[in-house]
Amino acid sequence: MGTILGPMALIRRYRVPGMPHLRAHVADLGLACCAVEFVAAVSRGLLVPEPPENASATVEPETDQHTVDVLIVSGTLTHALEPALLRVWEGLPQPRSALAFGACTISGGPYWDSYAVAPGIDHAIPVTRYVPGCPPRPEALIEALVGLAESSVTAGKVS
Amino acid sequence: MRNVEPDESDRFLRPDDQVVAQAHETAQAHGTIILDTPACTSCMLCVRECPVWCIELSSHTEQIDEPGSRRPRSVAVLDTFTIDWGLCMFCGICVEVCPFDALAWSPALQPSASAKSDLVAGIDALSIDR
Amino acid sequence: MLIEMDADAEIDAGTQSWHDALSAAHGAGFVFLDLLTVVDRTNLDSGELGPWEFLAHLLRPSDRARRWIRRVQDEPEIESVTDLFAAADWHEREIHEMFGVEFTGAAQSHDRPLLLVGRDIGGKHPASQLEYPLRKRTPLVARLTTPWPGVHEPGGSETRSRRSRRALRPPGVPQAWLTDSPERGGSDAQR
Repeated sequence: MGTILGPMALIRRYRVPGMPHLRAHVADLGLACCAVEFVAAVSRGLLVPEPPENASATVEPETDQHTVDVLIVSGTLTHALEPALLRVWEGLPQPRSALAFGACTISGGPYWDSYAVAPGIDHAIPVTRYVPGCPPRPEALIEALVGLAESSVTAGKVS
Repeated sequence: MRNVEPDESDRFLRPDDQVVAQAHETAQAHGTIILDTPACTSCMLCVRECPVWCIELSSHTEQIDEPGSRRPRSVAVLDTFTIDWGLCMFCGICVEVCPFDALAWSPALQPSASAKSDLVAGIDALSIDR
Repeated sequence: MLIEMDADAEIDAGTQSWHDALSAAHGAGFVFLDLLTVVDRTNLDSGELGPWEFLAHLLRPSDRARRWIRRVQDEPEIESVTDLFAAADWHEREIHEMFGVEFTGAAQSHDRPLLLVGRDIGGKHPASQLEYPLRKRTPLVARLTTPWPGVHEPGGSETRSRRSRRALRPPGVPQAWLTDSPERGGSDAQR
């Protein structure tokens, strides 16, 4: 499934069938609820794991100019995990986008008032797309990736 | 601790086909939440029961003359009603607690947005008949 | 398959010291530490910290018997039991970090950072930045500072309690969080 050691171990890489210019990096922040929806998305073929031979130790900086790397973040971001998320984000090549999957990543969700939880991942990294849900359905993930791709086209990032 | 012989309560540990089929049916019914605006009396119950404080409601008072009545009736009139989908846990407490069935489940998908502020839905967005 | 559990025996250490009570249980074969925790029994109306209810849940592997040991005391200071149960180190560090309880006689300091970090990325150890978050007197800041949408009454005015003109408090916010002075927080953290 393309797991990598070290700080990048948080993420796994996927492709979206029918959207060849998107490469999805999935950062699961430890909660099972949103991860379950990801498993459902993969099991239905909505996401396809990156083939092992393409999953190298680092992501090549000189990537295909048409490829947009999307960091999909799900789960609850605690203050303790903020530096790791920032390192993951900074390790991605440009052009890159971050997608906040689920209420915890948008606003802290059920843990909005916790002393240990960041009220949304956009306190650590810039976010391009917010997917509401607790957790969102797999279909919501695809709707968001389509929306993100369309706005990338509009912004001239991808031809 | 001792092991007891399995009895009929064990059936709850192994979901049978009917239970699984029912779960699939109902799962699709809980997509998002919609508002029946005329039914809302601004009672504030949904606002106060929401665990994440994602509902906001403002209202004002109007006096309505009742024929045959000595003094006018005071009613609360809804001004604004918003749900912040970025906070919403989709727990359904608001739907359950509303005494007037003004809030209901809809099977539709709540779409994503490029800005957090676009996730705050007002009466127009919430009243769309899905 | 349903498994019936024997009822836990609950033992109140009473005047016996915490270490003596756990040492006796350890000697009776309860060598597996399942949980070590504390409950802050502070009465928010009295304005005083504590009492503290310490709880240990031990298991005896030979017959799977279980035992709760309980000790209620006024001081947030108690003996470490890491000499009896190595696993207690993690639990005592967590209790120290979250409640500000001191454990005496531990082999290693409990100030090693565990779960909490500073609010800034790469921040310092939490004891200098947060006020022991799980103490009952420590306010949940988000609930104090976030405007509560439920403060409005049907028809528009703000809710007032019947006896006074004070606004209704949001759920989960006890009166003590609103009336305690700012200085109280500093003295708590230094204890």
